[in-house]
Amino acid sequence: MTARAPRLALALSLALFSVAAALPEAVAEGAQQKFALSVFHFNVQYVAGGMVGFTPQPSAEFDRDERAIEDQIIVESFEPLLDLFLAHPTWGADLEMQGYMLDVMAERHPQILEKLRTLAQKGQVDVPSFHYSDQLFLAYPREDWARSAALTRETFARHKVPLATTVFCQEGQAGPGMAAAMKEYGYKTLVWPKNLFSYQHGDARAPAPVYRFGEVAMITSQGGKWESGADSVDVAWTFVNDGELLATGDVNPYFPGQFKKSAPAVAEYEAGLAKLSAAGYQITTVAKYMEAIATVVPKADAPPLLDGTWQPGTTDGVLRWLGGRGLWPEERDNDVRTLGALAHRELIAAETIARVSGIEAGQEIAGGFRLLALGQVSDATGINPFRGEVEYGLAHFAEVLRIAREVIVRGRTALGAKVVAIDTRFGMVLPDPPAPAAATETTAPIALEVSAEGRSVAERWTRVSDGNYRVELRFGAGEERAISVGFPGAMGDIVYTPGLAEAPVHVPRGAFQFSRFQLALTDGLIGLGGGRYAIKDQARVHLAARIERAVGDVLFLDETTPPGEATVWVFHLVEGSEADAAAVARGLNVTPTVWR
Amino acid sequence: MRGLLPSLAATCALLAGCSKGPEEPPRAILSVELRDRVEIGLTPVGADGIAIDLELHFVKNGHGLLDPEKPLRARGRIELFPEAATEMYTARFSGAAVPAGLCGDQPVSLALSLVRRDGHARVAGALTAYCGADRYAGVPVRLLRLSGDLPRPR
Repeated sequence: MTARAPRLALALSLALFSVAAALPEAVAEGAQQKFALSVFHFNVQYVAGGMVGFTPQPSAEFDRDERAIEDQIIVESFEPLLDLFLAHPTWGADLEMQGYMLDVMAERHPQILEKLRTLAQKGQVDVPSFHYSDQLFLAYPREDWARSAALTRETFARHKVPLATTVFCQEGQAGPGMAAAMKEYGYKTLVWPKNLFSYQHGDARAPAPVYRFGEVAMITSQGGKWESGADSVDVAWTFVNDGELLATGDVNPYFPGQFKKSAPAVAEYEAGLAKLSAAGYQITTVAKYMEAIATVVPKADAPPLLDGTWQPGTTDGVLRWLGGRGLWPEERDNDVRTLGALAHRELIAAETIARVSGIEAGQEIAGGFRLLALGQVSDATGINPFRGEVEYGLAHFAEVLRIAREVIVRGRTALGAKVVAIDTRFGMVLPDPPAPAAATETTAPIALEVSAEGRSVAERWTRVSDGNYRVELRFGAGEERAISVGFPGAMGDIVYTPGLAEAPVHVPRGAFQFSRFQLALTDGLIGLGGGRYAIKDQARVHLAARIERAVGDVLFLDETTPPGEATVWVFHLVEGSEADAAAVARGLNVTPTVWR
Repeated sequence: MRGLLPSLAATCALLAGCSKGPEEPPRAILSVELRDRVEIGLTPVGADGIAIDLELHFVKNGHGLLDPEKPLRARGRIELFPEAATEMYTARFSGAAVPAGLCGDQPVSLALSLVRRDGHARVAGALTAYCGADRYAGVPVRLLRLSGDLPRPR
């Protein structure tokens, strides 16, 4: 289920504030500019898989399949916005969506796609898109996002819709690792959700109008007024929310019977924009705003920021997608996310052996990565996924596994081997390799705090190599859904690998205002201090890591363990250098060696 | 549809993964797209522990991809992911064109992928449909979600 953030107060309240004192001086003088910005975040996978089965008994009102829900989103909520902007050629906006939504429009709503194409080609609206599917990309290896981003570019080009250089993401995902990825893929400006900013740094300090973000730029979705000398820039955000809600009067697609275009709701928004326009505001895109202020407002240095999602106060950050419990009993976050991690491993192994063995598997690999992106949809594990959304994730990952395994079997046969070791890091395949060395059982090097009420727990430690320990936590079947494990840690920098980055970073813990924070951990690694690192084996446990500002301990919690099912979590504990730990993490979760 | 199916389906639905007897293959009823059902049978073939014969009988609804009156049969595989305590059942089914179906006059290629984690009774996965003959990858036309309890093939 997609987040439904409180709709921003249309900025007609114009709660503008001065941040002049906090900002450096302008580089040019004499400009007084007002901008009204918006990001309409559209998600055609709002109910991934459709609504059939949402109610216990068949329901004519709710039982609408995937295509029907997608069609409603496009017709009832998206097209009215296009019509609004077509009627006002001087107004602009950012209409963000996943690449997949363009494919859906091209297949079933070409006339609506043509309207979008018209608006985008003349530069009136921008169409940001950072991922092909509305996926929880911060929780998976960069390569999965890279394939998704490449598919997005190809999709936009195929449908002749210009891809915007502005970035806003599903669930408002944002993190420091995006900077380099944005630069590499030609994106210029990240819109960082204001609540994710204030959750980390409090409300007292207003964000600067523009930040340096690596070699690109970042703004927050908080309005404000900047002044320096004779220069001033007013920014009002008229909408930063699920785009589906604007034209339907705040009704979302989980209520398909009521999810209809509301002419009064569109008219109300239109009147608000007209009022802003009359007050001198340029109703425009983020990119045009950035261009207009480029020589006026200097970029500030961003404070330390961590990976997160747009409403951390109400979702406990990313926990809600990685272990946090929603409304429905069928939720099984760890099952879904670990299967996604396994699917990643199998697919890159398939690609490796296909290349080494010389078999043709391009269609399988490309199709596999597309399905992987769809399966990684955030809504399969949050905010309140019902059974259909859970199974959407599982079904896509299962199909990825089938495709990948078939390629591996073909490659293995072509190599004339019974077993292969596929090294995805170095792109090598060893036919009929010796079995991997067995790990030796050992005593626990640290004391874990395990909680699993009503379930048996067996903790088994083995030593994989010097300084690399593996712990297996076997939870017996039980009715209680919440189970957790705490790792003792020491105070010090927060050490983790941000999403889309490929190496750990150090972030000063004291730089933040939050009491606790949840991290997805793209490669599974989190520092414990004192030369220790905990690493999730993400094919066995893929939950958020809870860190605290005042304590060094790290907690992994799953509130969605299915009743009656046993489960096994696997972590590694590395005692050694950061480089050692990063190598173990990547070897497990990013570029593993698999025996098949 | 076979006349046996409704009663078998009802019984299996109550028993959540029923078996007909020690000498017969495991059979079960899985949900299809949450509301519909498919009866599935798995029969191990040979001694390698890999090959299985799979049979699917969809109940009433072919979802525009298959004729529910005609069972799907294929030789499939059991695939193992030992590092993740996961096993998967896969098969490819060559389906005929379905008039007015999602692939129009093209034949439909159907791929089964069912995953079992940690030895649980429950499996989940998909029957994925691709338009065209012998086409089991690329962009599917539909992915049917399957789930339910399924006895492990012996």
